[in-house]
Amino acid sequence: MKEFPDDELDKLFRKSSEELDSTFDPDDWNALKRKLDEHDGKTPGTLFKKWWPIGLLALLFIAGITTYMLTRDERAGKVNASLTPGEKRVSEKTGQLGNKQVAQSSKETVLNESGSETKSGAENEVIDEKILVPGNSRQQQKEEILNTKPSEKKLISKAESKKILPRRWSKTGGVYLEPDRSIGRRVDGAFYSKNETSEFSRSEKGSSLKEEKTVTGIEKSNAVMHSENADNQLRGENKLAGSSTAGDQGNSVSTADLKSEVEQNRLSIDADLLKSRSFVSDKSNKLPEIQKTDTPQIAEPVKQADAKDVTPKLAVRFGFSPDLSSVGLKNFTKPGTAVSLLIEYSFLPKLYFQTGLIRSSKGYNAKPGEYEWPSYWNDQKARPTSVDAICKVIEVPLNLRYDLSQNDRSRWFVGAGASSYYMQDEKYEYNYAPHTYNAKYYEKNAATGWYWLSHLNASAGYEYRFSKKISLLAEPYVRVPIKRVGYGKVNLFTTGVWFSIRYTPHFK
Amino acid sequence: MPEYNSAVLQELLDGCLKKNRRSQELLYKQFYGYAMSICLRYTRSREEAKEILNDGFLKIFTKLDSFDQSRSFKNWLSRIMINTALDHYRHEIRHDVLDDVEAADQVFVDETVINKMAHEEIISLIQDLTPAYRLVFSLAVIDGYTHEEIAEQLNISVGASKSNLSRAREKLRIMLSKINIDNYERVSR
Repeated sequence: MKEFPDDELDKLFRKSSEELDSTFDPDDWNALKRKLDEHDGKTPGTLFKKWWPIGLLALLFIAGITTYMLTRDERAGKVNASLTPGEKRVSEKTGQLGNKQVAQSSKETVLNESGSETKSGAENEVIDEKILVPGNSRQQQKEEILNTKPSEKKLISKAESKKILPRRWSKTGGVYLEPDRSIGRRVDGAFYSKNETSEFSRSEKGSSLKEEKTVTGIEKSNAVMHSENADNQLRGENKLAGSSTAGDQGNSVSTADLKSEVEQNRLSIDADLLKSRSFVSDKSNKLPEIQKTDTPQIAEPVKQADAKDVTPKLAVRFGFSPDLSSVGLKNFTKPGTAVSLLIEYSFLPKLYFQTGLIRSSKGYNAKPGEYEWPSYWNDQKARPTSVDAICKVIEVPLNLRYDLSQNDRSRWFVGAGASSYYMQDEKYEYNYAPHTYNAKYYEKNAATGWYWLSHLNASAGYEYRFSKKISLLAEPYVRVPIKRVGYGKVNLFTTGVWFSIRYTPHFK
Repeated sequence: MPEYNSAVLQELLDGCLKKNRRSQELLYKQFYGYAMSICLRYTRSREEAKEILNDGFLKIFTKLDSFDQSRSFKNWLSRIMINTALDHYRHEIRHDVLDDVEAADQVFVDETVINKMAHEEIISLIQDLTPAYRLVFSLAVIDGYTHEEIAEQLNISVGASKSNLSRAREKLRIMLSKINIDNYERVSR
């Protein structure tokens, strides 16, 4: 046992300190890794915190486009509903058909609301041929016809059914036969015979005469036939009979028999049927008047609606912007974020008053000359070489916006005004030169409150309207200080670009 | 490139500058023991030391671009760990009350017992000191700071720094003698 002198004591502890080797603990690294992830913004929380405004804006953008698409469809539906059936159908089809189809559409028969029917002469032949309908397909067509909407009842569209679609659309060898949706739904089954026959295309002309005749017989046995159909049928039968004679000399059914049968059927038309409201007596061979599809009638109701909405008074804007703040137009650091909710009111044409709330996170770096040190710092000789600040600011802008130019869907505008800042949460970190030992103040948290009309605003932007109510804006802006703000009394300059979605409510 | 920054270390530092997690982990593992030995001397417990260690490494990884690679990385790391510990001290213990050193005119220590003590046990004696003594003792004796520097760092006078160092040594002697006595009693039973 001996007294332990200072140098030996020091040596003991120095040696232990140098030779101490703590074993690595993976938990310590995991804890640091989490801190690093948070610092680098890689955790879900920080990612959400960083990107939620952009995500929200993207969602609003998608919602805006969807709304636009839906409202556009609705408008198109309304326009179509405002047309006469003939116009409607022609307008629907003219854009789809090729020359060939247009030529065929000239054969279409349109039954107008009064029940009159127009028919091209060429169609008569077609109808004759189309009397020959296989039973199965006829049944299917009947079902389809009965399932169609009542709003389409007044529309007779044979041409539609006759249009030859590209082969790739067809389910039956390049010919798509759409059922006639008109007569079958407004009268009794007798008229199906006519319409159903129209489902046939010319491609079936070549089927065997025997089969045709058999089918024709079935048709006739229904004994409920439109007189027009009967005429057509007669002509068709004659034609068919002729071709039959030419094509098959040995056919047991003679032309004379066929004629007499048709004549008999013609005479056996039910008198009640003649009284039917859908009975069509006025027949002409005129082509359908495609010229009736004049668009002014279509556009008229839309134009009226637009005229009503030209100058909406009130609008709401939600925006997101990167926030680039600095003291003295230099040393821009990592951008913060800003979100805004603004209301705009048009008190003069093209001129809007704009106000609302903007919350921003402003990060900046201030040099000693730009930052005002607090008075109680006099007991500390050392001064920081710089100050890193992150301030949460609520801003209330009072701006005027003027529309420079305006098109149907877009406009350019400029804005100017003043803003008041509320310094909600200020965090300052003081950076010292290396080997500064007498520093006492390393950081400061503060909330210095309101700075009324502390900044002047200027902006210019572009707005694109997706619908009557929704539009998107891009608006670069600057905030120029006219007062010093914050704990360090800095001249805080801010710039950025607003990406906003603007909603214009319509009040009735 | 200086000798003390090896090629491997240089590669790790380059990876850390690119925020490569694997490089950061390897650097952390490589200097974990060294950094921990520093942190333990400036803290009361191992948990507190871990906290400072990770805070220090966070500063290293986030401010690595300010490291002058012509200098020793180990010295830079040491400086950061000490500064982090001092920051921690400033935040946590603003008004430390100096303990009165027990009256002990002469303290005798058995060297054989001390030689058998593990390094961790010896360092734990420093941890048992009050913060003011612990910091002054560590800064002056182990890390080689002058009393002027310590006075500036801890915002105390040079005299207070010298006094604290003297009292810290006395305290440590007492603790070592207590260990001797405990050891003697255990053996005699």
